[in-house]
Amino acid sequence: MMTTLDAAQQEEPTMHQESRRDTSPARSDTPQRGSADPPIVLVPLDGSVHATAALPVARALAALKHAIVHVVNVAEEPLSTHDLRNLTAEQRRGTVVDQITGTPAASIVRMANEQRSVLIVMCTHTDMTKPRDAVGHVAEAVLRTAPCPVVFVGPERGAQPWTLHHILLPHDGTPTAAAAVGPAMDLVHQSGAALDVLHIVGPEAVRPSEPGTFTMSPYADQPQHEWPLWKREFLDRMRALCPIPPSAHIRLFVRSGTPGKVITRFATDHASDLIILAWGGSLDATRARTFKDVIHHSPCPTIVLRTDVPVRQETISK
Amino acid sequence: MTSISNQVSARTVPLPLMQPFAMITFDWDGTAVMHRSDNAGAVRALLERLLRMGVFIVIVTGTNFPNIDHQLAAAIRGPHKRRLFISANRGSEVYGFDAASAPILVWQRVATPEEDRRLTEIANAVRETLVARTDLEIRVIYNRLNRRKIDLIPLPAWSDPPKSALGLLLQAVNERLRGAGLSDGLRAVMALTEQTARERGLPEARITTDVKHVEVGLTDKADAVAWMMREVAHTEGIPPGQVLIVGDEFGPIDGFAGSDDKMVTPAAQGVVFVSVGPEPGGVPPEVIHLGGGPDRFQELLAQQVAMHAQRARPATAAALDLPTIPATDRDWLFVEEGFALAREHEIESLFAVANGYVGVRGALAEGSSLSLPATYVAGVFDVGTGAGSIPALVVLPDWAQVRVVVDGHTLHLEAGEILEHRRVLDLRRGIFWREWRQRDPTGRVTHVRYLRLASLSDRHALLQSLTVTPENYRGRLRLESAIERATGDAERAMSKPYAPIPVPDTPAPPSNGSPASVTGPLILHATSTGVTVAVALASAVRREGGGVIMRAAEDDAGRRVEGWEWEEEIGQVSRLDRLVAVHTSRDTEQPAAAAAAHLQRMLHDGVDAIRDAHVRAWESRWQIADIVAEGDEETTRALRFGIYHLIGAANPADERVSIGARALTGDAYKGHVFWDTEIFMLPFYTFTDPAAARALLMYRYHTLPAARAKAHGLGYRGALYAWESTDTGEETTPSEVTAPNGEMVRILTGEQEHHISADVAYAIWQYWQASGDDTFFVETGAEIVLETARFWASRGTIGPDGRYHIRTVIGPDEYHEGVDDNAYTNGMAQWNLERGAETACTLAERWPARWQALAERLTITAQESQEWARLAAAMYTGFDPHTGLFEQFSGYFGLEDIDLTTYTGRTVPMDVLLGRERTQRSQVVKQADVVLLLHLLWDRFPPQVREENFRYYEPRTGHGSSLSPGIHALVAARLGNLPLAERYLRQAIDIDLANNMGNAAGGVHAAALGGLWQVVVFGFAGMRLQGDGLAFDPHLPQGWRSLRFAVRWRGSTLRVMVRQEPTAIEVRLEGVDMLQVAVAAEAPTVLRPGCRYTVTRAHEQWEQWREVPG
Repeated sequence: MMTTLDAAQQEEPTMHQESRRDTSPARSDTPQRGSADPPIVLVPLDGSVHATAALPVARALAALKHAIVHVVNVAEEPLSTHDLRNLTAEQRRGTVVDQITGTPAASIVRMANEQRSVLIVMCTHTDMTKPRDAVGHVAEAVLRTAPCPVVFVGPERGAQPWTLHHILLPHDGTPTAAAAVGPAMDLVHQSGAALDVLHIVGPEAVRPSEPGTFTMSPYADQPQHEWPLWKREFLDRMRALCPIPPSAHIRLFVRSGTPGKVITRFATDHASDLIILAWGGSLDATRARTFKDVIHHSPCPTIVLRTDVPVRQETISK
Repeated sequence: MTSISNQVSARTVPLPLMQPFAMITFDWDGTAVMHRSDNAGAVRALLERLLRMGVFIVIVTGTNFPNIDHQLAAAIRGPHKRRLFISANRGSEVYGFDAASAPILVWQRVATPEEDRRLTEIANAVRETLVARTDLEIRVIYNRLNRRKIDLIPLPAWSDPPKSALGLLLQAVNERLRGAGLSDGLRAVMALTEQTARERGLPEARITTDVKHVEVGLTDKADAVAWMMREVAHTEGIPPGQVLIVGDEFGPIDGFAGSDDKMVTPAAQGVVFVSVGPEPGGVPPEVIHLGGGPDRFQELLAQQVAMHAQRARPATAAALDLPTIPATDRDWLFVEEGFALAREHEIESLFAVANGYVGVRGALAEGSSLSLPATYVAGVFDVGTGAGSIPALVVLPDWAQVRVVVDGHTLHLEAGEILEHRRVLDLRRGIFWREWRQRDPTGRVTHVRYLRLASLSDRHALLQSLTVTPENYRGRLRLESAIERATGDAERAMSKPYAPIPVPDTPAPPSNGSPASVTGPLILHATSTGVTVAVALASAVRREGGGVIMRAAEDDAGRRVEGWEWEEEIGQVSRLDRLVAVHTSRDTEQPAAAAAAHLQRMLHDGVDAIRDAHVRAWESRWQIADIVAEGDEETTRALRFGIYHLIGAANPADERVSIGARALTGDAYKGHVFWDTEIFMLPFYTFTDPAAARALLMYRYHTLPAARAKAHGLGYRGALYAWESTDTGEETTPSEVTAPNGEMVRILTGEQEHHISADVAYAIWQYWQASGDDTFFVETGAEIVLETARFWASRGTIGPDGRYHIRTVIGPDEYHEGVDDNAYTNGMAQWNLERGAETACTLAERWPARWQALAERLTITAQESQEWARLAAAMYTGFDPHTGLFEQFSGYFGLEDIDLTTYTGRTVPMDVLLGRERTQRSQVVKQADVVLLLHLLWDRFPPQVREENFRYYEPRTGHGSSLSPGIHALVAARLGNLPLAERYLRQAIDIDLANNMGNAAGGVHAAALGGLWQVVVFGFAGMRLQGDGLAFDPHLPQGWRSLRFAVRWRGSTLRVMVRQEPTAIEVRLEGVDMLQVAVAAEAPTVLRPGCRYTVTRAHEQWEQWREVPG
């Protein structure tokens, strides 16, 4: 029932005229997609112009993954055909447009489940009148239950085009953070982007207790030997987890300070296009401080990969 | 999803259980069966098989014999049943079986009528007291042999509670008692019973509980174990190490000792204990906790059956087996269970085998996605072609690589299921073992065992053996290896690939088990340094039944591939042996011929003889080197781990190499030599292997020209040793490095860290004092002492204050560069100048001819040596007599004082946290500097000065170097601050041995390991060189019952034991010369060779030495 739109050929979007209210979380009216179908990148919009900041990022990521962008308008009431036609050409280009009504987050997640979406790309928040938290309540609720990685885009990006040249991967040496290595490598492989791995040390970067963690040693007997050695070991362990294309341009940086601030500053200074964050699933005030700082202040989109529950990453991490 | 730690959970058998036990003893209820009504058929079948295999089985139970007989024993018939014993009634009687399989009472504790009467009285009295206090129904069961049972809950619901309901039962009993006013519940009944037993004249009565009952009796399970050890183990000649005792309640339950805890008795010392119970309260340290209940017990029995079956195989098959890992040698084994890919680099370092000539990392023979195999030959360096390249230890092709291919699929830890994987470093024998059972993705289970060694008896020889057994399939096996350039950084490998010299195979299988096919020497060149390395190797694959598999080999540009392929039957063992001989142009003009000839000799000797000679060499070395901290097995094992790597790092036969920072266990530091050798490692060699110490110091003699050249190049006289050096002694310190934050940092140590010259002189002097090796000193060592003194005389200037100042240096605290008058540098320079002057006098007096020749050659005059003494006296030391403190360098006290306690838990060195500039403006010290000076020149400082300086500098030291914790432990121990000493000792041990830190990925920290030895001998034993002898001032950690070690002194061996309580030192002098020994500040005494002496401390005073028999 979905049609891919090509803006150059067709201005009229095809849409699901049946609107559904999300009352039964387990119900699924949409036919299940098969593994041979092209993957879906889901972009929830809420009718605000801010939400559309996600579209350029979604399109670029979808192109890398040979996926279809599926825009879903989430609102209390369904948009009329007239309203849909009022979506700009840019918003409709190359996309499937769907709409659902009901509780936004639950609806988005249900659709992502039904479509076996490989990514959800959405704005961090769209209500610009309220004091900003890291993410709005819809985005947060989506993040908690999404079956796939979520890419957050700040509304201030607007409609400017987005390309992927520099990826930033903060890595504290834990197995949790290492879960992001595979997806990062896939993006490197798909986009040819350079990968900057950032390891943060400092009084606030407490040595993780997670077994298997590899972080800087408190000993650097002779730095002229220790530092290159540590760098090599860190990257070797990354390579062991995931084959790195020979052409991949990978740089390892170490910075000292408060992790959230360091990451966003680094992303600004190094013109990062995407931050990849591994997330343990908690938004608890202290444990998720870094996570929230990054989402809140990131100068570029951030992809969040959950490590506490299995999420669908099969088209990202092969 | 991948992760850094992809630890594969393998249900492995703990190493102590990897042996066929000759006697197995176990508790019945809860261990063998969960309930008396259970069908015991499976257990019986396994036990019968073990009995038939000659294993003695002893069942220990609290119940009556008929219960066990009915559930188990009656169904067993046959002569093997004579090896079955049942100890029933809580240790009161033992039943065996006669030739007709009928039960016979073989031992019984018979209570006297008086004892019987008292048992009844006690039980009655307890019952009456309880009833009076609680008004509960309490029953006594009288008809039990040698005991009475007081039933605390005689209710139908709890008439026969299963073991699994123990928790609920405890709750019910306590609620019942407490509800009736007995607030302490079961605990109160136990106490009451004990008290009543004492009052009624049975103070030795055994009071036990199964929670439902409190029992008072004359025996318990300890009696059963005592009988078993006495009457079965001893009679049958079974050593304790071959006895296994299994139970399910060794640990405490609600504060009461578990019922099986009684079996852990002195009579069973050395026995292996295992618990299969849940043990919520933990188990005693002697017990291995497996858990899993009766199912796990059955698995254990099945494994025992398999191991006994393996041992009973035909001689032709047994001949192929590798020796058994000495599983009971726990204090000598370093074990890594399972497989965590991310840790591979550090595991490879920790499990390296080396002999001072060649070192081999403990890499997986088949490789993994994170393997970094390497073989190094000491002294073989090469320089990469890149700009700014510096010499690095060369990595030889991976001779140990072997892949096992099953029906075309290579066996790999990362594919399929790991059923068992264990790597074991046998520290005592210098052998690296590996045990691996893998279920491949198609379900085939293959068992592979490995043994690898670098011979200590023949340093050019390497050996690797492996056996392969297809456990559940018949299939096509292939072993293959490809010898090729090392992977990784280009500069790791030899500059040129090897050039094979074709040599025909030798197909005839020698009778002594040597490999059959000989590969021609592989010639390798390290072109930049002109060193040629030749490797000759021979391999053979033999099959059970005597068959030899022929090799298929091919040489391909810089690559040699060998393969053996055959069809193998299920359960059949095949074995590959590979012998390797290595020679270089550093040790012979014709390395290829030497390697080939050497290999022929090895083939003639055979694998077993090579291995045996190697083991003997290690055992001989340990005779002097071993240290035992009795009461602290973990520390003992850590010390042995360190000593193992120190033994493997040195080669007494090669005086042109020294030990790199990571020895021969890793690429880090490129094999470069630092002051680490002289200050941190050399004491171990000086006092346990003087020949190795001498060889290491000779390296400094042979590199004296380079040291002179460096001094000259910087405008000084004498000899300034390179901060980093390789075979030539030239400076090889990199000039810059990219810091973790991306900043390019200039490295100044090569230009400014000059104390190394005094460090070398110090080591020479210490060696000379300890060894009495006048020949070394007169012919070589003295020259170094003179030339380094001369350097110091040219290095400083007399200031306006009339003091001698040494400016612009880096001390051991490398956070502060370009400082003036570093306390350590000046202190050691002062000492060096004094020894230079003393050396000139001593030579002139005792060896005038030598002095004349040397003085002429070095153009040293009497005036010059007198000037050294004058400069030493004028040396600015930074000592403030008012505070008793040394200022670490000029202006140090004015720097920012940062409280390091606010950085507790930090993950990185302080200079990374604070940044270099702020660190340099602060008092944060990288590593022991003044504190190290205290240690090295201990007797020069009054006690108050030692205390004050340690108290000042210790909290300001960030320990950004692995060399630091050990020295702090040592000094803290000497000062008697044992809690701090123990904390630093643990920190020093953790440098290489803390799991998951990744510290050791580039090789073990050889200097830190040398420091560990010093912590114990110089710190906890308080040993110091004093005049013509030794002095001791021990302070042992509280948990150590004693400390044992040995030291060499001028050709003799002094064996030392320090006891904790009462504090005493026992020594035995072996050799021919007398030795002067002092304790603390007491006057020394002279020991006679062949005699034992002891001295004890009473009331804080040391008494006189006494000769004791023995």
